[in-house]
Amino acid sequence: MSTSDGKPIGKTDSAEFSKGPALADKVPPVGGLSQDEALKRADAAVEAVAKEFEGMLGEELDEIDVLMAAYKANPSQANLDPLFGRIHNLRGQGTTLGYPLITRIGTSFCRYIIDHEPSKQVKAALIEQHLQALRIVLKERTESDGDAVSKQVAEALEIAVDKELA
Amino acid sequence: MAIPKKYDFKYLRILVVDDSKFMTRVVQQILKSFGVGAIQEAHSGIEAYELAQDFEPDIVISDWDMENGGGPELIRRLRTDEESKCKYVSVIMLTGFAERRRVVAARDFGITEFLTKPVSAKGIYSRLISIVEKPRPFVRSMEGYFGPDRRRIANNDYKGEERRAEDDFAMI
Repeated sequence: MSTSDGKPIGKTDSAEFSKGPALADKVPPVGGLSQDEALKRADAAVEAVAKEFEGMLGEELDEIDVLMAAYKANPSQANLDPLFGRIHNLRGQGTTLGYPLITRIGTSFCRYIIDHEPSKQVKAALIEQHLQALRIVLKERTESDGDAVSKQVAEALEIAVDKELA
Repeated sequence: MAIPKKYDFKYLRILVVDDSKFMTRVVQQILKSFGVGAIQEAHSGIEAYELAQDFEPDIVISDWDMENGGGPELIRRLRTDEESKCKYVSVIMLTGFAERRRVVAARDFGITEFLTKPVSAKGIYSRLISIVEKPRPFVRSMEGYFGPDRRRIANNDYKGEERRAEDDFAMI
């Protein structure tokens, strides 16, 4: 926090205004990398991390299977929440790390859980189909969204979710 | 002809908060590539709040949904807890979903910038530059809001490379 943060700068009948954080002094526009250089370096760094994603994905899906088994044994909200959290995270990582279909399948799953009618029980079979689809993507090592089989599976899931939410 | 800017981030302190260790790693790698000098990570809102009191970051990049204290709870505490040392910290909120209600809610609990996943280097870079180049005054309203001035609705002045569609939507 700089010394000027919070310095009063004005007042109206309904609000008081103060100086916000000024980072320009800490981040001069000289001495660093150009935007192009910075982005090129960052994209290369993300690519390096992405190489580890495949191994991590297998372990993550194994752990998700355990959560799925717990949900099937006792289909409660308490067992659904951790399952949702894990797939929601995968969804957020997929495209960044070169697996757009993971993001697409994760989006379909999250949409189903978030938008389903609260009075209706979530269908475990439909959740499992999403997990199987994630496995297919991993198995085929689909690192682009050009894989026809995985795409068809993702599409079929989206249609199934649409029907459930209709 | 204008001299191209080469921002030097080495004095910047950034706290990255996400319950996915893999995601914090991705964001850290991106920030290191930009030359950010000090980066720390936390995996829940509760952990992040404690860490922030010692680390005193300039910017917090936080996920929205986390177990043990999500992003909204973290921001509320940073802004309003009496003992918080980071009331004026800039916050970039990451979320997997950018529905309008989330964007409005985020604005109302005092974030500075909004970024939808999937995360990209370009998206993070544009938010950092926006925070540096366009500092926003803080407002304490009679209705109880405390945070960056919410009247900036959109930021269409960014002069960098063209952003992805979701980045444009996500700016508040």
